[in-house]
Amino acid sequence: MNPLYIYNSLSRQKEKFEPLHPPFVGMYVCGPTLYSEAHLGNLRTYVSFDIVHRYLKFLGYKVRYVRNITDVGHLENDGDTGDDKIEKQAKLQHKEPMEVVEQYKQGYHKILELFNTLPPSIEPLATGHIPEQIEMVEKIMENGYAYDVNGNVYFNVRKYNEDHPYGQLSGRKIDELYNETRDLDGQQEKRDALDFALWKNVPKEHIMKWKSPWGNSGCPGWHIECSAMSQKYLGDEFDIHGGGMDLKFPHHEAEIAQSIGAIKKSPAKYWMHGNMLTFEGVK
Amino acid sequence: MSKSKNNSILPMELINGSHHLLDKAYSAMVVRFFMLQSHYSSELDFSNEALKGSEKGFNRLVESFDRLAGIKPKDPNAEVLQAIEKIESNCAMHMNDDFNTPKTIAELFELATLINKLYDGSLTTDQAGIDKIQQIIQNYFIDILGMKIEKAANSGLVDGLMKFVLELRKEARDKKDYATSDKIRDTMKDLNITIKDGKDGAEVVYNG
Ligand SMILES: [Zn+2]
Repeated sequence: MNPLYIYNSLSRQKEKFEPLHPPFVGMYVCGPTLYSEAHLGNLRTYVSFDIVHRYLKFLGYKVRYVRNITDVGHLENDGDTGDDKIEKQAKLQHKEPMEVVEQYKQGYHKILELFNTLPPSIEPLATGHIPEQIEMVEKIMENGYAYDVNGNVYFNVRKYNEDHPYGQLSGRKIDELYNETRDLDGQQEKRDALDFALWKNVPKEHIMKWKSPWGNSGCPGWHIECSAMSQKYLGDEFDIHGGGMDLKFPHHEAEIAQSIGAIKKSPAKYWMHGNMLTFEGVK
Repeated sequence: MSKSKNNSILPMELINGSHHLLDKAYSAMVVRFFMLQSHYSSELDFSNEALKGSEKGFNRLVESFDRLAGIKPKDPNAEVLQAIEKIESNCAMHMNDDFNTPKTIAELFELATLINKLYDGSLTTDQAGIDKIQQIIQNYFIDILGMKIEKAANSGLVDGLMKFVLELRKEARDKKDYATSDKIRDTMKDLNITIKDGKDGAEVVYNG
């Protein structure tokens, strides 16, 4: 009988599955940002990784499956500018941000149960791991790969790329990425278009704000939560990291850079990506 | 992906059929089955046609799996046992090949065909063969693909009842009691069940 082979997005080929610490397997999958109901594309991703989870268990592995919930820090357009998706929704509905999260969390869990997916072993929330995220940002700064501008901390992609190749997962060279990225619009404080936020300064009126070494009112950037929480629950290096294809860049690329930037270790051995869906041929 | 049109379909809208692009509602298990009929790394196109196809396929599997309980063990048959084992090893091979669920499902259709032959008596197997089939269903269909066996439109019980209804109708027709035979046909029609008369006797078609 053939052993299990997994297509690894990082190497772009099928690789024999050899967990780091058999019979244990650590798997991290990016969960939803709960500012709306989970849609069909999200559901497909969770069903796909439910199969991975179930099959690894069937093969006798002891799987720790971590799937997070983003409840702060995910900005509109997935970038570094614009409103926080949850904060904005809360304003529209005249609710607290956590009320919005709670409301959609119930629907999300109901759908996943209806579709017979097994629950993850741990379902961490970004807001529950602020100290861990701050600590990781500090480490990245200590290593010289991040800088602070008025309470906003950015990851310095160009500096990082001098020591470690950036773009390994998406298979893109940094120069190509420059051509694809819009110029800084002047409203941003980051030095370089490819840099991304690790910590954001937020207005004092925001409810979802925390004290950090960079100011009294801030919140984490979207990418750092997954790096901090996967490390906390699965260790510096773990077996599988999954998510939807749309997260490969920049989210997962940023995760790899953050982990290497903080502790010089690439987080996951196998990267898996579930594909998207269309309806009657329309994307 | 957050802005594309497809994602405006919510899972609940599939289940209650409320989305304007959908012809009808689908159960969560049918939608899950439909998703697994494509490999996770391929783009998946939702369409009314494809969903209906998956619903038919899902029902076909569940119906045949239901029939397993009605199969009487007979003498062992080496070829049949070999065929069952081949299906099992193919399922493992496909799952080991980067979680290839569509090919695994194709093997389960092979299994369904085999069960149906055992059920109609054109093939036979012993208790060990039946147990092996049961184990494949449990391992691959239920535990790995995560499917729940919902009662399909024509489950084993319905099959038995329909056979009985057709017998009553045939008796009525043989006695030229057309009032009774028509009443049976019309009542079935109200239940969305069509009775078709063919050369080899009456056949039942479940509509919707
Ligand atoms: Zn993530």
